[in-house]
Amino acid sequence: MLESEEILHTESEKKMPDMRLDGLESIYWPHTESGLMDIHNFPVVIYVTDGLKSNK
Amino acid sequence: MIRQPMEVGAVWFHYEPESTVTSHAGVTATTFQGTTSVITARGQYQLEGTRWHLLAKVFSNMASYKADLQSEILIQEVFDNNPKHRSFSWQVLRRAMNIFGAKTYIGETSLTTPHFFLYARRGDKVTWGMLEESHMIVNWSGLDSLEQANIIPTLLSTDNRIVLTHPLSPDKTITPPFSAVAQKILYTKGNANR
Repeated sequence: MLESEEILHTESEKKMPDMRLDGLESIYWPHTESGLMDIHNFPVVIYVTDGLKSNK
Repeated sequence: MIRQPMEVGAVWFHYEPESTVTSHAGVTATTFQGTTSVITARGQYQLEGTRWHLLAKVFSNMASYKADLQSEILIQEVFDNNPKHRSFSWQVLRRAMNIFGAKTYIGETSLTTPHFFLYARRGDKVTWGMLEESHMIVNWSGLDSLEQANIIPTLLSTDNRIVLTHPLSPDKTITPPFSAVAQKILYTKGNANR
């Protein structure tokens, strides 16, 4: 889960993917680049999504 | 490089370009490869395709959609030109909203308010969702001087506002007035901005 202290205080520009489908998120995610590929319903481990600026 | 890759996997290529007319409520828009181009009286703007889709679904008043969109663009341009304005990272906002189950966010436009807030507003004007007075997140840097003045009595008399500010400057001029029982509940020294 993203809410760990370690991630909250990281200096890395890399954002961990955090796709949820509660509330308005069910409207938002399906129309992102990864959502159009139905990634959120694809039972795999997600290592990257679009928009990452860092390789750290 | 993926360390310790799984022995079995799949790569899914999505190679067909998709360009669709996504005009809505009198606003001309075309979405191509995840980016939406919107034509307004002030010119052409581009935004994430999914943001455009979200606004088309959640803007509270479809009758004034076109005017509301232009108003939001104007406000966003003011924010973009204000070096003190910040949009906090999703990690920070998710953490802040989860502490008290806050559903409402104040202090950004509909163009940048994160999609995980059920309700968004500016002052008493609903951006999306509905007006509700339970716990809410306030981005202090996203309020203009009048909005800050209007919300100060509420900050001093209630305990259900979670105010996000930047580290205190020496003169503390950006500090909103807190009530005597206010507590610091979250501090991040990481990359807290978008």
